[in-house]
Amino acid sequence: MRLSVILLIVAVAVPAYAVISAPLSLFWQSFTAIGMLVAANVLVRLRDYRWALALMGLSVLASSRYMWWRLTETLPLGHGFNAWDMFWACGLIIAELYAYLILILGFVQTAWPLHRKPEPLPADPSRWPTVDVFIPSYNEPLQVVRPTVLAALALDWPRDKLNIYLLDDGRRDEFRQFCEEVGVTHLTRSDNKHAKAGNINAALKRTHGDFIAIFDCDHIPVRSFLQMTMGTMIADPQISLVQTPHHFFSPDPFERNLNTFRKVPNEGELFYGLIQDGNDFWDASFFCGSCAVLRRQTLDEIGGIATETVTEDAHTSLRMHSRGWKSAYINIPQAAGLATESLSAHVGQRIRWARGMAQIFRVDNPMIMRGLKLGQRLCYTNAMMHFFYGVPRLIFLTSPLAYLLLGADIIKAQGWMVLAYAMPHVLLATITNSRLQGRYRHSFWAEIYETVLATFIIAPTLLAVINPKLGKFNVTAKGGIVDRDYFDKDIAKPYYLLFLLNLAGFSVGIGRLLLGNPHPDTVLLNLGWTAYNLLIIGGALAVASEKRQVREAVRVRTRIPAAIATEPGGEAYLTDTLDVSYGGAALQAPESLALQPGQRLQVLLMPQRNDVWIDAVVRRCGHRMVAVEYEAMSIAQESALVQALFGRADAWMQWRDRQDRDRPLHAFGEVAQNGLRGARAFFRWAFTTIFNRTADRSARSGSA
Amino acid sequence: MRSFKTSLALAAALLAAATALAAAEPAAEPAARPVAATTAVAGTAASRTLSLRDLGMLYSLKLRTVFGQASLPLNLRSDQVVTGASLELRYAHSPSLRFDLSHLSVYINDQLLRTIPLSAETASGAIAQIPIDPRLLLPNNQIRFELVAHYAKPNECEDPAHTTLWADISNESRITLNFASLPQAPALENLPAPLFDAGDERRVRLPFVFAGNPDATTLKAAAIVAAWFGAQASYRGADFPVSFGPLPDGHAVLFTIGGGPWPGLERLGARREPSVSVLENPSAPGHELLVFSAPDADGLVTAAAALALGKLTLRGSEATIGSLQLPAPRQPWVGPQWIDPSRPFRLADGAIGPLSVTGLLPGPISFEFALPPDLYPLSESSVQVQLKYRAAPVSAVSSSLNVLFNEQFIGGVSLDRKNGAKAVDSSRTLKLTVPPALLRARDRLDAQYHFRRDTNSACQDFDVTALQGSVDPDSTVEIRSYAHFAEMPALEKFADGGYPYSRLSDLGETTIVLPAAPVEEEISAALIAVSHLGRWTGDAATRVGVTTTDGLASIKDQDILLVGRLDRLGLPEDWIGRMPLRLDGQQIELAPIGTLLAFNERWLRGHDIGAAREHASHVLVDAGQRFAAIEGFESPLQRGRSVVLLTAGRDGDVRDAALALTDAGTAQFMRGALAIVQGGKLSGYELGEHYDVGHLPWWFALRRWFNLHPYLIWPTALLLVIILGFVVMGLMRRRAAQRLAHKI
Repeated sequence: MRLSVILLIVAVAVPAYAVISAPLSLFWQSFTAIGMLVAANVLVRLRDYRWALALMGLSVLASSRYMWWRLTETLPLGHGFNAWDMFWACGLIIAELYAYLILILGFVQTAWPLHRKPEPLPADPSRWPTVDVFIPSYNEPLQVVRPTVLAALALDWPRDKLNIYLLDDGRRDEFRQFCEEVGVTHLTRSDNKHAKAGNINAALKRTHGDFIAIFDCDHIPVRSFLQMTMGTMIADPQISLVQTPHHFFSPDPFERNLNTFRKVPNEGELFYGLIQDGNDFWDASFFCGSCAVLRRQTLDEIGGIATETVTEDAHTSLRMHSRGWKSAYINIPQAAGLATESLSAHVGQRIRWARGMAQIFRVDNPMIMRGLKLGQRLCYTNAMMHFFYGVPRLIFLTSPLAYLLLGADIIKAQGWMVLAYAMPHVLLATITNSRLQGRYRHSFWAEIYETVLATFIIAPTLLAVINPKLGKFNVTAKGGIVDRDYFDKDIAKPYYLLFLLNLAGFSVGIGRLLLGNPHPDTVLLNLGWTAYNLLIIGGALAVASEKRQVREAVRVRTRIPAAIATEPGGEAYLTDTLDVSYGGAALQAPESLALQPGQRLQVLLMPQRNDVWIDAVVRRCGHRMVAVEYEAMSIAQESALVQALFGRADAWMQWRDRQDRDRPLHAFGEVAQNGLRGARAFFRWAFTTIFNRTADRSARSGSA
Repeated sequence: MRSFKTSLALAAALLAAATALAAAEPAAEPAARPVAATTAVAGTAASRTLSLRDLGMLYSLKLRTVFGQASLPLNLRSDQVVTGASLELRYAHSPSLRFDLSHLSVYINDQLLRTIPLSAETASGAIAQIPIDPRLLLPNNQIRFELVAHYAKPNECEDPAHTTLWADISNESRITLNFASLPQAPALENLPAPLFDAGDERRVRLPFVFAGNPDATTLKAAAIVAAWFGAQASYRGADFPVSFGPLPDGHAVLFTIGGGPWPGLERLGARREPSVSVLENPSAPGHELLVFSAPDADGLVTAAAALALGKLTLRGSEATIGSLQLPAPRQPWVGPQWIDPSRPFRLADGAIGPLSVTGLLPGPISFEFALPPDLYPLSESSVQVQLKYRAAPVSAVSSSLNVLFNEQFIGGVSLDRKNGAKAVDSSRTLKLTVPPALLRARDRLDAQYHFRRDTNSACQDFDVTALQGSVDPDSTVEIRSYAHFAEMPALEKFADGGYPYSRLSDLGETTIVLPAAPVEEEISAALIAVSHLGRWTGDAATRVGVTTTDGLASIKDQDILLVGRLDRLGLPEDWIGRMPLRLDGQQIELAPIGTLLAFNERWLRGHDIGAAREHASHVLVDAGQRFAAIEGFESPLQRGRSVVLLTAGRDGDVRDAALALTDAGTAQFMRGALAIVQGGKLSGYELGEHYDVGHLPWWFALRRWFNLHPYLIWPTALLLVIILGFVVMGLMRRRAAQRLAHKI
């Protein structure tokens, strides 16, 4: 096996080297570029996966060819170039090398999503191991935590082998009372050292289950969670972690502000849908802090959850892997939670991830850490390198300006030549990624996702690399509401600065073209690039235009069998829900039942056999539907509601069905539309702000 | 010995320092060749008129500034003594000078010949007759011109570099020399004089005489001698007319086995051992014969090799050779001529003239060196020059140091010192990359200082001699990554570098092939060609092979130098098939060009070989059978071996092809696979068929192959990734199954 791989590498490397390094004239490079693009367009249409692998290879060759050319022929060295050119050129080449590295690591990482199926549990439940469920909480309101605890209690597992612990770092009486009420253990500790990791480690010392299932307090598990995950643990005693995806039933700020919820895959889907599954092939799936089962034996061996970094989850996994333990990923959503509410909160969360990954990169670098296999090294490295995209992204957004505004020659080549080399590089990467990731990430959306975060993660990642201790843990705020439309000018500041700069560059470029530049191809190339950047930054501005959230409780559009009874124990009418939330439900109105707003009734939600009726009041009715609002619920009622809403085994199975397939051109159209929308929003904000200020000033001077 | 070549730039520049200019290259055009009034060896008294152009000055000498100088060399043969000499000076100068303060002086060997006052009448051109005392003349002389010119009164301000301060000396100015032969007793210690005299700038002409048709071994001896003279003659070139019997009436080289038919030379037959002797030519008193005699032809080779290797006892008029041990076979490109590319070359080792210059408009600091012609740089930046220079800390605004490689500008540096003069206590380094396309077999590097004085302050006291610049001796030329490789046929490399034969300086892999019964002109052409190789190797051609077309089949591992008229060659079919120009029956024919080949050449290499072939056929139609030609093609005997064929049409002279090699003016046009020489003109043609000589590193060869087949890049890429896709699919599927079975 190993020998054959080495032979293969040599047999491929020699001709590949020639294909990558042969210098060509503009004519023949264009010929090669077109040939490669045609080949890619054929390959991408063939469904057999080996053609996708071939496409990956072609993309790597095209990009390598570009990079080789960039590095050997286009660096502005020699006569006619100065240090200033070199400065910009260095920046750009570093950014390009980074993008190239990430492209290739990404291909390796996602070459073969494992699609692991859950393993059956032993037929005899007495042989099932004991499981401790940890629900750590620090400052979240009880409101948020209740459904999680109730859903945990409803997990399908023998009651005598299941212990639920609410790890309350807030040490709140309210929580203790709730725990006593529902029958779970309320664990506290005297300090809050090491935040969540410390919280879990403290709990580990006081519990004894064979396995630990961890849920963030806002991640509500479905009842089948342990059934789906524990089989794998039992089947392979070497596995120390079974991770499932994090699913969100509310739109994140991108989805809300760009109106793409459930239409365009969100930012996290690529990771949970594809990357973790691809990691699993290399035995490199890692712990994501929640919705996972861990083996206590392994945690004991590595000294508990890692506390040196703010992404204790990935760091813990890394340590497990380095000790030879395996991990597994089951790509079936078995828990769901609320997405971050506002862009600023979202940014805060990503800053933490970026800082944490950079810390691990520094503390336990996966490329040099002992005990890891090559695949694991590459996957972890990519996971960490990914968060260094801040500087490269910024460089890509400003590089054409170096030429347009400052007149720096950053690439020593004519525009057409750059195009002939860069086109296959960029387009093949786009086509290939669309083929591999299309279900989980539409083309060009990464540009918006990354651009929004780029400026914010630069400092945390760089600081963490310089000294891992720089930086502090910040808790992601969740459950808040954006109560009005507004332009988050604080968070948008970097984007609108970039936007204005690019706009200036674009105008100057047009001017240069009109005034007759000796290198119109170079000007055009940079203009095109700037136009693209403007659209992407516009997209980021659109994300910063926060939209009002309409409802307090998130509604889940789902069809569940239900029953309505107008009085307790009275006649029940069978019907179906239209949507359900924690505060109420919309149901199909039974034809034979006349209802009035304000009427009190009882609702029975029965995804499974269930006989807990919930008291409710009719709020609206008509058009064959009735909307009810629940009244105060008992624990049993609330639990039943949680089960119906979040706990069904198939709750999150079909959610992806309504998404569009990725079509790169269409996706570009969407991104461009959002870019224009963002630009409009920005100008509207800018004009009103300026107008208001002027008005204020004149008003003030008038009153004086 | 190092041959020195003056460049146009050198000739045109003012020589502030007394540059030891040694000699002049034969002028680029045949018409510019010295046409002496008589040949140098003709009689006891003769006269010769040389223009400055003949002395290497292709342009007029330009004297500039308040004190302009220029000098040039004048070398004389050692077997002549000058009895009278005069200089006819043609000059012109600025009409705006203060004539009472301005004059032009002529020196020879630092002795003032005459000072010519300048006047309004002479400004537009004048001729001055200046007699030269013959006693001032030595074998190597220097003529120097000095201009002292002013436009201002003694107490007025003056810009010493003002443009009005000029005088030109025409290169049509002439030196007439009357001389008498200096009779000398024939003596070996004078060799190679008087047969070759370094003081004579003209092409060496030396008849070779054989007693009847020589055999191949005798010809080998002649070839060794010809190569030796070629090395001596250097840039001058050599011509060896051949005679089967009659003695010419000048100096000559004679080969004889056991005496010969020549009256007065009967005693040569008595020799029992190989010998070399110098005798007076019985048919031309005052002239010498260099005689190689031996009892058999092998003895002649021994005698010739002994001379070429410098193993003769050069005393008296005769030396015999008992036994001769040949040195070990040479290694490729090892020899005094070539610099070793594997390590940095110290420029000072190739310096011609001093490394330091003075004055406002100094001449260049020049270096010469020879690179193996098959040196193949593997990157655009392979050839690096590290020029360490120092310039005096004189405030010289917008002064610069420019560097030229083979007369092409490759870089420079500004010497501006904006912050005023500072101390100069160490050299600065100028790093330059030489474009590979500029490389030739013999390369020249000029470091040219340009000093400009600050013209804003004309009245400031300004000492021109304070402007000094130098190049440090440890400046280097370095070749970073290279291979010994050449894409052939490349007649330009044969003309400039003797490639591929010059690779081994003992010509160990060279075989000269002549027709079955070679005639005089063919042997002469072969000898001229070997002397051309000797010029490039500078070594004894002791291992050169000579055979006839009958012996072709027995040649192994040899590059072949084939000499013979097209209709007399009698080559096998497979040879004729490879020749770009050949005889089809009685018809001269150019090899046909395939459509694919033409397309490839046009679109991949940018050579329009169709047009080249058309031009060649026009030239041939005009010439009829009256032309000579040089052809290059791959040896039919062995891959990677070369054949260069010197040939001619039925009415042409093969010697014209050989002589074209020795003339820089015509040889510069040689290239590709075919050169046609007709009426003193040479046209070179790329005709498309290529073969490779030498080795490239595999990685570079691969890249080069794709570069020559660019249409195959994306199909190769596609094929590669499809194979990869299938193989990786299998490997990954297996691994995935193992992993899902909890095995890994």
